[in-house]
Amino acid sequence: MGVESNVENSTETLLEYSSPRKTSMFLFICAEAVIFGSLFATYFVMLHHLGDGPGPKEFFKFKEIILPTILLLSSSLTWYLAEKTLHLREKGKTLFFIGLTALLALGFLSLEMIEFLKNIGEGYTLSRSPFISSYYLLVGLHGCHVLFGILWMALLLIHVKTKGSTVANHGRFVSFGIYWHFVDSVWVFIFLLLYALGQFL
Amino acid sequence: MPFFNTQIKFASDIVAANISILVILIAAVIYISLAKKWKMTWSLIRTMDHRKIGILYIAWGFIFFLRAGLDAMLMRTQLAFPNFHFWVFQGDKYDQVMTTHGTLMIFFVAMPFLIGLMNIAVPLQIGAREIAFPFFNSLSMWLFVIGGLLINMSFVMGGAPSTGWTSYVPLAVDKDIVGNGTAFYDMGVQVSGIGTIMTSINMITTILKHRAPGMGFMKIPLFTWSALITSILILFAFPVLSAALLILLFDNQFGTQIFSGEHGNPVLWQHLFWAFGHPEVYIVILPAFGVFSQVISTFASKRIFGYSSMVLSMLVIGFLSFMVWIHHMFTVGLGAFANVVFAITSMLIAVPTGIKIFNWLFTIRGGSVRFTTAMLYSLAFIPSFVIGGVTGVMQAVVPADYQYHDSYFVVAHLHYVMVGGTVFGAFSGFYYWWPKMFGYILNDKIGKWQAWTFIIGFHMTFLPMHLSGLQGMPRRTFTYLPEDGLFEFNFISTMGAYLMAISVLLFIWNVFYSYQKKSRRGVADPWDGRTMEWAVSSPSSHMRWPYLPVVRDLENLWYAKEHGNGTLPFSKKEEKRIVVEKPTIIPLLLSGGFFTISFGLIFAVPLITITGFAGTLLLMAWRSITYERSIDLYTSEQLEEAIRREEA
Repeated sequence: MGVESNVENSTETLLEYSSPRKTSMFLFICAEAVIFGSLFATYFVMLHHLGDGPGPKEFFKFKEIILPTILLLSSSLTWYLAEKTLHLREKGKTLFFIGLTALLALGFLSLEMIEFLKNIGEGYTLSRSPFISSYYLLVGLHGCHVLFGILWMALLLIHVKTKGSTVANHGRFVSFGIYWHFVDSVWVFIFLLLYALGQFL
Repeated sequence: MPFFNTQIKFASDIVAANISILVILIAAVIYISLAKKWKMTWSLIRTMDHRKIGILYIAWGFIFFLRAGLDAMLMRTQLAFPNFHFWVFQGDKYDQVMTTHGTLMIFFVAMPFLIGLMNIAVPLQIGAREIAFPFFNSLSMWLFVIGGLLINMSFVMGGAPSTGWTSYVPLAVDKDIVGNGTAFYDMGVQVSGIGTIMTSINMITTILKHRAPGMGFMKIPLFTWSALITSILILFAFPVLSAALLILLFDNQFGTQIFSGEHGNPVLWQHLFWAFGHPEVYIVILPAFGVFSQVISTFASKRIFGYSSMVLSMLVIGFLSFMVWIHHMFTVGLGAFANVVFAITSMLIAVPTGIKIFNWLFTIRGGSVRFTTAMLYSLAFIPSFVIGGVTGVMQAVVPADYQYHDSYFVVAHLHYVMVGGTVFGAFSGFYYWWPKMFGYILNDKIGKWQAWTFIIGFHMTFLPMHLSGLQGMPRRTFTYLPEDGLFEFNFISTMGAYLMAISVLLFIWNVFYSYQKKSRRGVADPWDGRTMEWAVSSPSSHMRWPYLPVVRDLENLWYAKEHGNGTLPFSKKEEKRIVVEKPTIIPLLLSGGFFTISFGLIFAVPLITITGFAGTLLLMAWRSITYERSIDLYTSEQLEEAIRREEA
């Protein structure tokens, strides 16, 4: 009886603690999805506002985006492992996987910066044409989310290092997990609708 | 005088504004010092109590209400006579005052009034101890304050926004716009919008996750239902505005041309703005509907008629509100098909709204009605809002709208729904929940004077605008000619506006008068209330319930009064982990960070922007690291003990 009620109590605590958190994170994701949705819509409207700039076929280099895509999408997997190892109370592994996730994200972000700099070098600056502006806004905002995610992961590293597998840390991981998988899935849409579809427009 | 890449010209109106700001600040400091209230102020700005945060929302909203009301007075004075020259308020200055009036009234008066009332009433109505995330609640409130201050400051910092609350492009990014008006609009609304989205998340989570045991969805009081639906609308509408404002910021400050220029698309702004803007008008009316539902049912001493149809109609209104935005753009030329589809959806909204009107009427029918001030506002709302609704349906008729468009008819319509609906609802809610907020009752006699002057002034101001609009008076103009035949209408409007101003002064007087009288008789439940907020002490105490109340009926307190001695039954479940946030200054500092970011962006000083971002991120990290230290954990037993100690 004693053990049973203990288990029941701690499960209940965990549920009570992370359930409102989960709800609110999903609601936050709804808001974020609407923001990105609006920017996707803007991008598609701007497909017809090329000015004297290039069209999507000329502008997007499909081959160069494959590596960053692989980096970012695999970071979702490493994050999943980080979350699982936290639940198993394997602190060292958790720290390793958070670090790996952050590194993959950092790799993605540096490749994106290189792409931006290349674009600017070719004369495709922010204000070249409405089409290119909308591309920068959408991809740039996603990049900001990745950057924010990296900073967040740095914070999580500190939390895990100092406190280990506590209830509060489980809650933090739940929140960040939802955020990070969302950021990745936005990239899937960017990859498909901008880079891949751009080859056929 | 040069000021961060702009010039500030000290014209007479700017000097007057500066002096009045200084006088108010000095007076506030002297008052707080003399009354020895620094300690109270300090604890108030750090508070995590949903009731106090709600009061702060309303107090700041009221300050902005006075400012926006002053703008209205200036406009009405300028328009009182044909070819009139009142002070400097012609041309660009008139545009600035008009834009500030609109922007403030919608984003910084209507919304905080209603969100403030939600903060106060929703947790009490659903039997929750607190809002789900008190820290974010406080942060939302301060972000709204910062946004409002930005819009207010703009007037003395080189020019307020001057392109209307809709801020249409390409006008808004025109090089001839004086000062940084558009940037102030952009950042002010953006920052407060972030706060509003957070509030909506907070509110939905609270209502979904923190209802007292026994409260199923069909036992939620109607005000809380309206808060839930409003929050959902905010959640899906405001991000569209955020995205639109982000693009506008880039167009305005970083030289992109998405909305403007040779190749841009100005109609896209209109689509994005109204895809947000139309849900927005339901965001500010649905909570008012909720207030009326509570007030009418309480003072008719009857259960609300057709509860489930009330809930359903609100859901339908919320759903339809996302599919009508084109009716603001009938004259853009999107083609007959688009116009007809959106005309039909717009007219459809009249159906659920009509259901609500009839339900309110049937609630009153056969009840023993008590005519308190709160009830007076609710009763005045019904015919006023019906007029506003009918003119709305008139404008949904596409060919007719080509005539009404951009005329004073539209101004009349929007004020009939915004003032006749939202502001009446806010005042009704203030009189109704004032005892719960402050622990004293507002004087009913002065209240009735206030209500009648406000209602008469309101109709005097806006009824003639229908007629001047039909005569062809365009909106957003600062004067008209004697031969236009508009003088009488405008003069009556101006007189009505003054009457409303007197009424607002009466309200302030009532607050001070009643505060001194401290009418505390039966203050916990002065109206013979029906929902759970009247079962706790007034003002409601923080955390209040060591054991949560059990909900047996939609009108839980009334049920307890009918089937017992009027006290609620409480759950016997011993809770192990009740989180209580300690008061903290971080929300205020964080919003200071957002202010710094905005300031840097508005005046195009990258260094300030970067400092702001760095500060904001560091504060967020600080909050995260100190989280474990910033909360207290209680069990039910400990909380009971703590409450008993506090009361003693």
